[in-house]
Amino acid sequence: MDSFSEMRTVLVVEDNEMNREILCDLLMDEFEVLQAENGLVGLQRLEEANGKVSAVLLDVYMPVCDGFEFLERRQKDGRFDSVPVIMMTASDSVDDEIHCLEMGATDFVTKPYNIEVVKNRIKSVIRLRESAAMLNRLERDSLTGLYSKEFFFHNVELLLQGNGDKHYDIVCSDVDNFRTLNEHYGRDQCDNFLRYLAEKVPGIIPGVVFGGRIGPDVFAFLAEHQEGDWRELLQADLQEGQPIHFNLKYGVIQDIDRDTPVSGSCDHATLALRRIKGRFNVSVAVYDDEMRRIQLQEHQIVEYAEPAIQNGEFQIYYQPKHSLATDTTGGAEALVRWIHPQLGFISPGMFIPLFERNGFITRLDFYIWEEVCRELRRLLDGGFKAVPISVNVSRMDFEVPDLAGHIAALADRYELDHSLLHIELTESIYGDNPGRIAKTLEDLHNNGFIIELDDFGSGYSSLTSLNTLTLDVMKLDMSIIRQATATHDYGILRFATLLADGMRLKTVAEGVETAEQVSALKVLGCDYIQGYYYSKPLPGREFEEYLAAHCA
Amino acid sequence: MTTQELYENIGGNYDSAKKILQMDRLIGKFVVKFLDEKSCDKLLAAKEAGDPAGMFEGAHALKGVSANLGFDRLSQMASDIAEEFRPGHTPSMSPEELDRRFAELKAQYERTIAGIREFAAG
Repeated sequence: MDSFSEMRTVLVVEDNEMNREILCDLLMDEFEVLQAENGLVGLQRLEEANGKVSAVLLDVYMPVCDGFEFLERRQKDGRFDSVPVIMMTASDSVDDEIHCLEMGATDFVTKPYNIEVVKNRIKSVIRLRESAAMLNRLERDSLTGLYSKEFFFHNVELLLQGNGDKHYDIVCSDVDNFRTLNEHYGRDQCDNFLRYLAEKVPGIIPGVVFGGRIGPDVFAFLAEHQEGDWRELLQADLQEGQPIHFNLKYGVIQDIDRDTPVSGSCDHATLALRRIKGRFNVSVAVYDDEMRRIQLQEHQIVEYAEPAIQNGEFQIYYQPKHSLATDTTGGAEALVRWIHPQLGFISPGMFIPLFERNGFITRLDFYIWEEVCRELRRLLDGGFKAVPISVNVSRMDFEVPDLAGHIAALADRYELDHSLLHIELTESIYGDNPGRIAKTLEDLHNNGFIIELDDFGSGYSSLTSLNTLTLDVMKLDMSIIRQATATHDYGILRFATLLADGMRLKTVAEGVETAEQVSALKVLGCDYIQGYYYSKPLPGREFEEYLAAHCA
Repeated sequence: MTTQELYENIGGNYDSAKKILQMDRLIGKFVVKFLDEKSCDKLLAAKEAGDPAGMFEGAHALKGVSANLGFDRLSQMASDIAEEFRPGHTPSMSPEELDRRFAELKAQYERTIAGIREFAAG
């Protein structure tokens, strides 16, 4: 039998010093060995080792607290139930062996022991226990007690096979903006909240059979098929008494098809659910033909993505940023457009979330960076005054090891000053892996790239991210600008510019459309303005012409 | 004296010791430690005191330790006595037989100890 890659700890409980020493000597090249001279000391060692002990070798006859008493106390205590116990008995005491097994011993070896037998017994009980623990872990989600994703799918399939004539629905639940809640309330409170939901949600689903946790905040429940309208069936409010204020969405697929894999049915339910995310007045969506159409379209988009890069279907548009200080163009934001030969114009609002989900976004972002570098090189070579161009990064890009190094190498290949490349990130990515994101931004900043925080004021804003991330520029979301001009109340806008000023960040106002907005922003001390008032996003050629005209 | 010669001298079973302890070095190490092993003294003291529980404990311990070292005869003798005094077992040996068994055990023990001392001295 193979050895474990990592040494396991074995506790030897034996009163006779010499026997104990012999055992320890023989075991120590393969195990960490702890010793105890009687059952009481043994229990104490178990407690001290704090879960580190993988198996116990236990003598039967000992003064003070013998093997039987050890087993009895262990049973009553309950904490060490999962630690396997191997009894060391004399060859002629079958009664003892049976008694020990009845009291929860896992196995026994007879004295005088053959050390190879002892080692193999230890290894096999440890393996058994560890694989059982793993199976258990996989079967139930340790936080909520619901089935794990795989077991949920598996159990639904079993049930469908066993009940050929019955019809079932699947209800998925998802918490709106769970990431933001996590950031706001902290991990512990959100864990409690998820436990609360796992307990309460099944109670409001008619005909519920069982549930599983299929995503961090996504649960799926199998229910007997309901003839009624799920939009009415799922109206119970779970908010009362819950300290976290939340918005729970349900996606339902009715009368699930036995030929579709259960994971596919859950995808359908969650697809329905995603259509209503962020909408406050709707909480239940049922998968229907319209959704089937959307899904097909989404499927096509994902499929066409790679060829689209090859065929140059993704085009980069540049929206100028006007500097109020110099009254010339002070930069631009690179935006991606996709015109597919058959599907026509595909909105970024449509394909970007899909690419973020399947990871293609990183491929696309690198493509965009390269195109932008090419454009900057062309500007410099063509004798234009090159202005910094900002490019969006997605949360998935931060998973790329040494992102800063990659971008720096790219900029160097085109012999570009790093300050010509700005990195725009939306604040909502902050909740994911704050440490990693902060570190990557710092690397980018130290490499001379300029960091812009996008969408400030769009609803995701948190002061934590402002405080912990290395930033150079704050982009004010168009929603607060529109709101300010619509209500003639510039309070929030003023606060945002003051905040930026206090943090020594430059400000860029987005979505500016009117002269009134421009003059207000000028008064507030905003540095750059981006929006249709100056220019719509322009393809490369037109952008060059624009620069020639506005950047003398 | 080699460990094998020692086992021959004291009527031990070298092969079974080797099976348990695997290495000659370990046999040598633990055999010497048997000199400090107190279970036989406890057994004999319990016999003097007429303490059945003490005799079981002592005999049981001696049986285990000597078995581990391949002192098969000593272990068997201790085992017979342990069974006689195992809690719940009705004693079946006559006092004479018991005395005889103890005398045999004591002789075997002393022979073993003497052999080990000689081995330890080189």
